Amino acid sequence: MRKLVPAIVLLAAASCSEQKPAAPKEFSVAVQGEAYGLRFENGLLNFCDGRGGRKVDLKTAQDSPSERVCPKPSEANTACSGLPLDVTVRSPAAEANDIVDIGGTSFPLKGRVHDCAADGKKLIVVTASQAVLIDAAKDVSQELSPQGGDRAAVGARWAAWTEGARVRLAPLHPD
Amino acid sequence: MTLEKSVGFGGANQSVDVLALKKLINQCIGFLKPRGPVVENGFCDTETIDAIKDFQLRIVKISVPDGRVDPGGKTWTVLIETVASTLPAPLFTSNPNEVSTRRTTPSSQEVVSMLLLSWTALGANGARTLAAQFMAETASGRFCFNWNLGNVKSGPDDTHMYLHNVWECDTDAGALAQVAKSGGLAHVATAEEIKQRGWNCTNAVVVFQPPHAQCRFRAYASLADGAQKWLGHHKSIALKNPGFLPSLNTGDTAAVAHALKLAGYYTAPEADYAKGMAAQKKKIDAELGPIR
Repeated sequence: MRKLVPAIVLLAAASCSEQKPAAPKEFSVAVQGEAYGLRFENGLLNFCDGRGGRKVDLKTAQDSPSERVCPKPSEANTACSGLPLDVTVRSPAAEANDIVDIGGTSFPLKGRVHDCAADGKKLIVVTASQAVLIDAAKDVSQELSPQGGDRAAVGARWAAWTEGARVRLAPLHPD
Repeated sequence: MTLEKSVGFGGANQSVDVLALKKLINQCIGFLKPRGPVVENGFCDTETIDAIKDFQLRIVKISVPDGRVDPGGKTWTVLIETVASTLPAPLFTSNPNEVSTRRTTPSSQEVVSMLLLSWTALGANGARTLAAQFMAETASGRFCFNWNLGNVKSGPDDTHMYLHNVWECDTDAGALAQVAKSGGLAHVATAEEIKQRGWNCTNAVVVFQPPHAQCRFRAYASLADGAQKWLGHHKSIALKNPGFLPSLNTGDTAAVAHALKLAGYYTAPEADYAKGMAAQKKKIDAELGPIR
């Protein structure tokens, strides 16, 4: 019996060391008025809304005021211009949907591009009818939400977009 | 501007209508070079009928022109649109990157020549096949403005123009929210408007007007300039799909339509797209004659 005690302790310790940290999950935070200026910085999502600057801790999902100065909302990126990726948005005549072209592959959307953001080879696009993540390195797209949005941001590990009176955040799968 | 009765071959030819029509034809005579202006009077003579036929053949793209313009008919509609395109369009903003919107309808020969110069891997037949795709997408080039070949959207920092009536499907609540945020530049389409325009949405249709960002498109200085982006994408498709270029060069419109569908280039049914391309290819081949 005396010999068993250290064995149990050791087993427990081994079990603890093998335990992986909980995978980040999708969550959302409420906003007031229009949310804009979404950007990922140092483990936070920063944005502005009717209350001023806000920051969301991506580890704890806690939303709190930030010191960020919030000027008037700038225009959303409806043409996916000025991004680190060479992206073209086309609006075929007589159609209600835009098409995003990246390097020889096209990604037809449901709706018009309301906003667009990129990080590396990842592009997030929101329309009136969906939020889509495009991985240009793999030539694949994934619908993040069948709801529309107005603003979007993407970082190395997270995507965020506005959806009604909320900002939704979804973790990205590692490459 | 209205036409009371028909003008031209077999038409009623009321002098007031004939005079109005001749004035309109002269306003867009630049599109009918080397034809010179018609004499502006109320008589419908052979010169008038020839000018109408020329307009129908070259601008309306009627293969067998009848030399007659009917009130509200296709020739009349295109004539009014063409005249409107010759007038200086207003600017909507003070942004120095904005230019006036003007219709730029290239001929098949112009598109083919530009393609041969810009993509050396294309043979004569390949250039015709790609020209057929462009013509099919733009209703024979009529829906091409400021040499923007693919209706590419623009940010405020690039040279751009504005187009009217850009529409999007949305939920009823979403549509109202978009209108509320648009600063008076969007509205929810009425049932009559939806029927008239042939818009097809499950719920509401939001319609944007300049200078809303949804109406902002790239503007290019020339056909060759505008083709760079469009061709660049096609070249990228050729890099990913080794069968694309051979299909272009053999004039296999069905295979090209299939490759473009695989690349996600268009959302229309593949059979319809292939049919449109084949019809345009046939037309271009007839227009340009045998390949030497």
